[in-house]
Amino acid sequence: MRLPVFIAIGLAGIGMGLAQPAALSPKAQRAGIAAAMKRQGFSPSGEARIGNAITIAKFSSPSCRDVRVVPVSTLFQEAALLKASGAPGDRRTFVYMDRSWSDSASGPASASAGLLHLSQRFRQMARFQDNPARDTMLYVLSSRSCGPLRLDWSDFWKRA
Amino acid sequence: MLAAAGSQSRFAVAQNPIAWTGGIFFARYLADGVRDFLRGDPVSLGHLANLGIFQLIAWFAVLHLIGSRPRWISDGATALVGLISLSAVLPDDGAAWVGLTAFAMYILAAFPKDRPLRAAAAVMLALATQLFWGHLLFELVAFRIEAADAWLAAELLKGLHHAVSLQGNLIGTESHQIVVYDACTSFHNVSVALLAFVSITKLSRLDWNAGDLVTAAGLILVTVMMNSLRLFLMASSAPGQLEFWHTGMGSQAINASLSALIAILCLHGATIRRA
Repeated sequence: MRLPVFIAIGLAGIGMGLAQPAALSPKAQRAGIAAAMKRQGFSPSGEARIGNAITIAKFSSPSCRDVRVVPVSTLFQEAALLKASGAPGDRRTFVYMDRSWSDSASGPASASAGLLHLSQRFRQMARFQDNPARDTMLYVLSSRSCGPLRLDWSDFWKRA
Repeated sequence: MLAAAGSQSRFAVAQNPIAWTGGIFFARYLADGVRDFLRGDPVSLGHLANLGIFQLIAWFAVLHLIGSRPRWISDGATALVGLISLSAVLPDDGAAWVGLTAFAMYILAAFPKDRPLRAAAAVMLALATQLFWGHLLFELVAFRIEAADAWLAAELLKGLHHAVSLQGNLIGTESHQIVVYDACTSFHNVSVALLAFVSITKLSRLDWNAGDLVTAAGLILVTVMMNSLRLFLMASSAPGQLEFWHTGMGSQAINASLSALIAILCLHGATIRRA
């Protein structure tokens, strides 16, 4: 009687493994960013690239003509490249889940986002929450003329 | 003779809840790998063409060591390993690695004198570390490791009189810049090399000895050097040839060479018995 129980657990494990949803692709991620911006009155106004490594999505609205959003890793490995992007007066913010940090706090942003991602990873294992653990945060740049931007990213972080 | 050995082996597995539990975790590993392979994920069973082959060797070692003879355990212990194996049914892939770690800890605590089982537990811990715990640890120190790998490659470039600039994990040369990302670091390959080391050593002999530390140190050194060489070749090549060393044939050749070096060093370390 013991062996059939273990065989059933093994088959359930195989089924669960095969049934897991795919990780969010960069394309789906960009679509999620565009959808979140659209809901807040921004329309896409092009893309820019930094080499092969980073794609910057550009958005504009009647009240703010220049917002750029870059998905970056919670490992903060794009930091050196990001320093070269944007204009001197730009407002720069890192966003991860329900937290945000100004660019001047990039060190704390990296450490906090990393720890948040780790804690998310463990909670995700037992499905204590609905949102998937994302290893990506958002780097948002806007021109100073836009004033302080309050963007709502809650839909972006939810499970697709 | 062979038939008798096969029959004994089947008997050993049929009366071995420890082996059943190991089999459940292996089945989940295979299912995750097949799923990722079918989706074209580069980190999948397709990856076995190069360094990933050592993961299969590790699983072979685990299943061989725990299935070598029958091990009837009490009903309570069977229920406990059954409960641990349920972690393989949780949706997140990482849960199975936490379960495998718990399973290895249970074996180490419950079978202190069973040398094959303890050897299997060591390989299980190495597998869980390479595929799960190591990734978590890496996240905490990733940028420092990326910067260190970039520094090593930049020093190689300087030594060969290339003009080079270094900013964290960003290497700039006369013609282009390359960024060292997590997948390009030596950390990943070092963790694979150490998994190969534990697996091949435990397949060869059940006990550790002092000389194993020398083998492990040699593996780390060789792996870091090969990774720096690859980064150096990427940074020093013409921009049009970057992909050759990044994802093309050049990268495959380096991975194949590294696999061969790891295998040779591990086999040498495992078979030579040092005092």
